[in-house]
Amino acid sequence: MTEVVVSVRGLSKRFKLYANPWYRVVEWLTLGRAIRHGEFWALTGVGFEVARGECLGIIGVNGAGKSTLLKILSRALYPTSGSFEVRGRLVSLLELGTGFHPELTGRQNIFQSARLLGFTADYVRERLPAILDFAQVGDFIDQPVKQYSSGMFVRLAFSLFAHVDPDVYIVDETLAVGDVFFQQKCFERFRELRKRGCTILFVSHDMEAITHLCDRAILLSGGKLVAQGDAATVVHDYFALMGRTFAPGTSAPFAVTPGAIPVALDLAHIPAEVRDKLEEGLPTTAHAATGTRATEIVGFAVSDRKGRLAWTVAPEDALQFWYLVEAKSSVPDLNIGIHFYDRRGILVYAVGSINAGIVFPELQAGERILCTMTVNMAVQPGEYTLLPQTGGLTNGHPEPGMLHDRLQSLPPVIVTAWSGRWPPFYGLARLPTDIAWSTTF
Amino acid sequence: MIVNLWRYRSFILRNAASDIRYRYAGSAAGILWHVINPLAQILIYTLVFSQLMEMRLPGSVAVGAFALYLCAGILPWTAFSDCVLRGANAFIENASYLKKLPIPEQVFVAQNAVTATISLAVSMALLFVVSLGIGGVVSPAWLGVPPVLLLFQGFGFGLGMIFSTLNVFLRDIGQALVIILQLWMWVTPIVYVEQILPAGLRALAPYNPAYPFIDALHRMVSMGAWPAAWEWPMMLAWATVTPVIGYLILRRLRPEIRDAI
Repeated sequence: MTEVVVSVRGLSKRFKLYANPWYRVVEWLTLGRAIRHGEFWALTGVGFEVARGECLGIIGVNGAGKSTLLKILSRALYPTSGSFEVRGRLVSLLELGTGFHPELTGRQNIFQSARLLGFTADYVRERLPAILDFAQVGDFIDQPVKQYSSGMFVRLAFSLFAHVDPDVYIVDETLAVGDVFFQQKCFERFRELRKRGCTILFVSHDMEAITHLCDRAILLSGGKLVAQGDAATVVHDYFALMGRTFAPGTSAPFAVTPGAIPVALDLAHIPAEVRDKLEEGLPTTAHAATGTRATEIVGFAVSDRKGRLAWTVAPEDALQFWYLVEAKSSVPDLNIGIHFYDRRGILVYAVGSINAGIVFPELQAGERILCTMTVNMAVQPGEYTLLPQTGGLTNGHPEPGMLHDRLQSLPPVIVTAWSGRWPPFYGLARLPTDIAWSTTF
Repeated sequence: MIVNLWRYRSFILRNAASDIRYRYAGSAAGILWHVINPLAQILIYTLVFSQLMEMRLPGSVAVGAFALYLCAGILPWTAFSDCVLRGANAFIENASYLKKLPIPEQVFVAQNAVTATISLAVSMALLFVVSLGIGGVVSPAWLGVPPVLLLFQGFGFGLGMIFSTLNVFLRDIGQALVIILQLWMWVTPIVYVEQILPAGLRALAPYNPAYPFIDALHRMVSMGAWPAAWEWPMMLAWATVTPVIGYLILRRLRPEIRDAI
């Protein structure tokens, strides 16, 4: 029997809306007999439970009541009716950096902030080295935080939150700030916390993050709980609610340049460097903790078109990503994919073998498959984080699929600067474009 | 209320300390301004009222005596008025905390009261030194000054509690208070001696809630006498009843405060 850590019963929140502040005085003076306000119900009868060590995703469009719910749970707002119970200490990322005083140094602020959250100075002192290491603000730690860049500020603020050990953690979309490496560190940290039995309530509009991080999810709409269940199903409901359909076959067919993704590789022609790299294997820390591990990426390499190992590429030139995947159980529907994120953490491009219409043969436990993807890096110069992954289809839901394995903490690939007179395009990435002209119109 | 204030004591004290430390941040003299300001205030009042306007205490010709009388009232009044006005704005100014953290509301009113009390302690200590300097009466009655100041600040905290909640819903209150406190200062014998009031008004003076505090301070600082017997229970009453009323109002309206700020 799992222990319930958060239980919410019939929670409702009403906001009174007054057209004129004096109407409130009228109500006071008539002892509430005269009603002069309108009502807005931000939540109505919301109820759910979360077990210890569980990660619950909370999704919904803006204004659905997510923030109100979280604020009530973190006791920053009082509910109008209903009740909730949180066992143990709750820390909310909503509070990120709120206690920070611009004139105080980073170090002083860590202590001040911790005090606000109810942790003692000794508690923080014990964890200080880890906090400082995580924040990576260097010598700035003894400078007033008003001199910090916004990135440093957020890292510092988050580092404290990441190193306290609450029983329940509320994570709002604050993670959208900070560069992608920092974000990955954060996600890593959450996984660690969960392993220790910390319960997480995770609010995000990033449905991919929800499905990968959460066991279950609830969907709020207009202040009501309209769906709850396993994360993938609820995410599906969310898209349905937003009027989007993800039925298979309605998405546009993926254009595959013939030969770009070889369906069958000629093993005799694998460059020696790449073969060595693939056989070298991967450290265990390279694998994300989430994923079913039905298949595992056992070798990974990046090369240029000519098969030389490379992490740097000229713009518009291609990189070739090599995967050596091993099945741990019988897998009928393997999907091998890759994600590219830019420095701001924006998903620039993601593609999988399924998008390309490639169907791998069914794999049995212990069987291996080698796959390469050649990607034309038609993106802005800069650093890109890549997340290679394997997955399969979730029964009944083509979106978003079941994650098997994902490599993280890889170094970024670097797209070098443009050399021509004009940049080949503006924006995140080049979309295939044809331009024609005539002067006789 | 008290339990929560005690639980957050280190937060209150720390914030009050940083309020004091950073109020003059960026200026060259920095924290010294906490001494310069009240000192200048003491000197200006002495100059204007004792020298230029030649006001004297009844039955005394000493120049310093009136200055002491004046400062004994005006310095505590400034702190008291700070307590009320800044207390009334405490929730609005700290909206960013209240909206995100489960900190009890009264903590912010208390923080302002502590800050004002610390500055008051500094300026009253200066006054003590000055009174030694100008050869004024320094009697054992000075021992009664700290408790009276604390009670006066307690009263200020109480009013701050009452108005902080109401001000969230009716922001006009904060503005009106500025005027009301000025009026209140002038009807209280602070910059003048009560003997100059017409007899009718003079009989009413003790009904002014600030009167026992100011009168007690006058007696102790400028006359070397102890407060009148009736003034102690009066002061104690104001310093306990107003925080309780403030707390009752807060408790009644608490759920809506964070919605409205």
